[in-house]
Amino acid sequence: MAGFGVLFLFFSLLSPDTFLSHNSLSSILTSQAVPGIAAIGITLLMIGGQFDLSVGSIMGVASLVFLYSVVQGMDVLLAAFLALGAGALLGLVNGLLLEWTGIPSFIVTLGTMLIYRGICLSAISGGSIIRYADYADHDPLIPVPGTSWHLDFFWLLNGQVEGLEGNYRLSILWWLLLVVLFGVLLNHTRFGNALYAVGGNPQAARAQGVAVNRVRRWAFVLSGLLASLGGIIQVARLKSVDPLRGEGLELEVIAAAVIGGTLLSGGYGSVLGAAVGVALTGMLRTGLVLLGVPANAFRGALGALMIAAVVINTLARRRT
Amino acid sequence: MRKTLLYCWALLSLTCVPALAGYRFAFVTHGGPGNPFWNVVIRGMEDAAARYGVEVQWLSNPTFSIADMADFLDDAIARKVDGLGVSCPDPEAIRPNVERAKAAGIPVIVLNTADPKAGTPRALPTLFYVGASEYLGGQANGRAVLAEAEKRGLKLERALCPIQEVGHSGLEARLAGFRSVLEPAGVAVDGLTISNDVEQSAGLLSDYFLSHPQTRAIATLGPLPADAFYLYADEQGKQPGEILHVTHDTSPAIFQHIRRGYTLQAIDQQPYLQGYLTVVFLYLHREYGLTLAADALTGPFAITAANLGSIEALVQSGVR
Amino acid sequence: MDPLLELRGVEQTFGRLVALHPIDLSLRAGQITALLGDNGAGKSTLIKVITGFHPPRRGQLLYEGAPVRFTSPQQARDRGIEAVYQDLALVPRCSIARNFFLGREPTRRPFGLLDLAAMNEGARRALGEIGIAIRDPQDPVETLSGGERQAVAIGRAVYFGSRLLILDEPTSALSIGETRKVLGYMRQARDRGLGVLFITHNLHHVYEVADHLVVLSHGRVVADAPRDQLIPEQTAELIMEGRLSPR
Repeated sequence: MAGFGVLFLFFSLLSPDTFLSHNSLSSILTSQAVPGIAAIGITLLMIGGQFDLSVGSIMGVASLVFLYSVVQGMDVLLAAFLALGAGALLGLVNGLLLEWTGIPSFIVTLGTMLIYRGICLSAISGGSIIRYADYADHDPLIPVPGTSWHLDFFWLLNGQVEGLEGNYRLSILWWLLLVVLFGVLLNHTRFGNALYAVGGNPQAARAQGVAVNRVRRWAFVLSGLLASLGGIIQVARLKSVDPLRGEGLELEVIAAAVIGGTLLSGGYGSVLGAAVGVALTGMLRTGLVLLGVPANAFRGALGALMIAAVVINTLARRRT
Repeated sequence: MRKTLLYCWALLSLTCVPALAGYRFAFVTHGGPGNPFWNVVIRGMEDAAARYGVEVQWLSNPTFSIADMADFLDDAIARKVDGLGVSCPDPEAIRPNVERAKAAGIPVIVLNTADPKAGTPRALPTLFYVGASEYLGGQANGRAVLAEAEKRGLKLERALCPIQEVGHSGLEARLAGFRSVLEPAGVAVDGLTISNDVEQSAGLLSDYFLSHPQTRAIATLGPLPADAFYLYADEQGKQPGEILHVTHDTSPAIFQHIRRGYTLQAIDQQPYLQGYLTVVFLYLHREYGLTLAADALTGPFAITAANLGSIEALVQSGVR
Repeated sequence: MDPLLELRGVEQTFGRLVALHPIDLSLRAGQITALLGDNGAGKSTLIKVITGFHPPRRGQLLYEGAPVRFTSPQQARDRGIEAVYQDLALVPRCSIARNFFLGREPTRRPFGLLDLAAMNEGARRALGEIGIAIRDPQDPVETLSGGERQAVAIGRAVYFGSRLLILDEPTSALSIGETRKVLGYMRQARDRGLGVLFITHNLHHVYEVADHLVVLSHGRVVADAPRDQLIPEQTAELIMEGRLSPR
């Protein structure tokens, strides 16, 4: 958290007139809402002692399933559920592969990352993107139960909040709600306690009767589900899907989780920390742009930030 | 810890010093350093910036990512830049951002990839387009292939046009132009998804040609795909003229192969101009309110063995 | 009174290797039994049979007089046979309370959320009853010393109704003061009516706390006697030689 404050001050002082503005703040929050949602899932997994390098590819597949179904005429809510189901299924496959082969999750999900991305690349024949605008003029509508009104589904997922300066979008709301929800799941449920135990000392967990494999499987399912939810929300904003959607997401969210204090070894972490980590990387990007730095410096800066954050976190933990 | 922060501060401040009294323009595109094509655009941009005393900032993701384009646009708007150069591989996805830029009084010039709906009521609110006519370029290539086939007395049955950035409307326009000339002449045109990874794409091409021996012509849509074709031809010992090759854009390798007879022509869109002119027009617009009444077409311009000589020298200096 | 756990003719083999020759053994409630033997004597294998890891190739287990067959450690645990291993008992970064109730967390209505207050208070009280005083049940277990961690693990087993407590080298890697405490907790457990079986190589500890000694050698029971019937020199000889030289 201290790092957050430092970086915030840093950028505020260097570009006072632009950083402390709604445009800048909304840019950070809006751009980070989608990775933020995926970061929740990856935090869950990392607390459970596992990796998921395939979240970006899962997001790609889910986005594809969603928009493709919609432009084929499927009801948009059904398409959304289908996409979420696809993401959960892919996550389950990760979990099952881990269970059946005993290969470390890093390797398993490295493989599935490539496989799932391959699905994205070959699914659309000829390799073009799907654009919603080619299909319909107005956003898909869903009925509001109990009334005769209809709601713009894309707006519900990721629409711009009118009347506010800047680019605040509803995705931010969903992100924060999910952070709260999963924070409760982690800290106030038996599943959460079991997850921490499975990540911290799987043998101890097993000795106490925790169904270790089942807990891990669920963690993978949730990670896939959240990644695909992020994908759908992103589609609602961009209204298009290309086979490279979600590429590179895994590194960004793992970095964010680590910056937020989640340990790579498992058994320790928080979704709030991941949210802060994600916000920090967004702040870094926006801050650098506001300073006039070209985009290619961002990667290096992110890496430096991550290392700095881990060092700070480790020192802080050692002192307590 | 504090000392390192101070050093970072000092370092970053140094990079910001050039922000003198001049205008600040940002370029948000779908490609960047690492791609030889975009390096020339950046070169043009930087040369113009030096000459006109303005500050320029290049914002792009190394891999094709529409989502990042939208986020960078938000950041640039937050920075209150004086002008934007934007490419439109997916116009709908960035529509809200471009509209916000317009509302914030930031002029937007489209470069490299045109807005396909320009001139219609659904056009993005931009000034005009600086770049090549992709469709015409594809057609020019198609005509060159047909002419060469006739000259050699070759009955052409199939041609291949691989696409390397899926969903890129500019590439799709080139493909469409190529098709529009070949298909009426009875030549089937196959599509194939490759990437900007040269080795990987060469493998894909090899597989394709193995299974489609009747394909005797190929149109590559960029310098890296052209490199992939050259790698394939080299490894398979293909002679010049075995497979008729036309391409878009330029590189030293392409020029070499034109000279050796492998490549009939390269359609140049003069990327240097795209970067350079965008800066010039933004400057003049800001300074005097001037604008163009029609798009500034920087291509197609066909480079063949005939006019190669005069162009080569410029390639070395990175201008072409 | 029936012994708590009785082994009759229990044999265990792995392929062609005979790990345990037919073994007859009785473990009683309210008694601390030390299981001794050199490395490779079969102690771990015996523990695995007792705790349900591997069913025996031949022979019978009787629990409280009735024959049982365990096919998983979970089953043995449900019946009250619980093994506590030093490093494998607790999750280091979780709190004492969370560790204490792991797998059995109390929840509250309406949503089935954890009753954290009950967990904290319950852990503190339960451990206190066994003479284990902890500062704060929300402290992560990794802040505890080795002896304190053993205490929590033992206290947990006692609290949740373990009948036969099995400890594998409970005092190795502990300081003298800590060892004293852990031996004390073992006595506490015994006094509460549990049967305690512990593996150790340290004869001093054996003679300080055990009521009964069992010595294994090459997969056979070579001694099974109350503590007072064997002096330490004899026990050492049994461990090393497998028999007593005639006096």
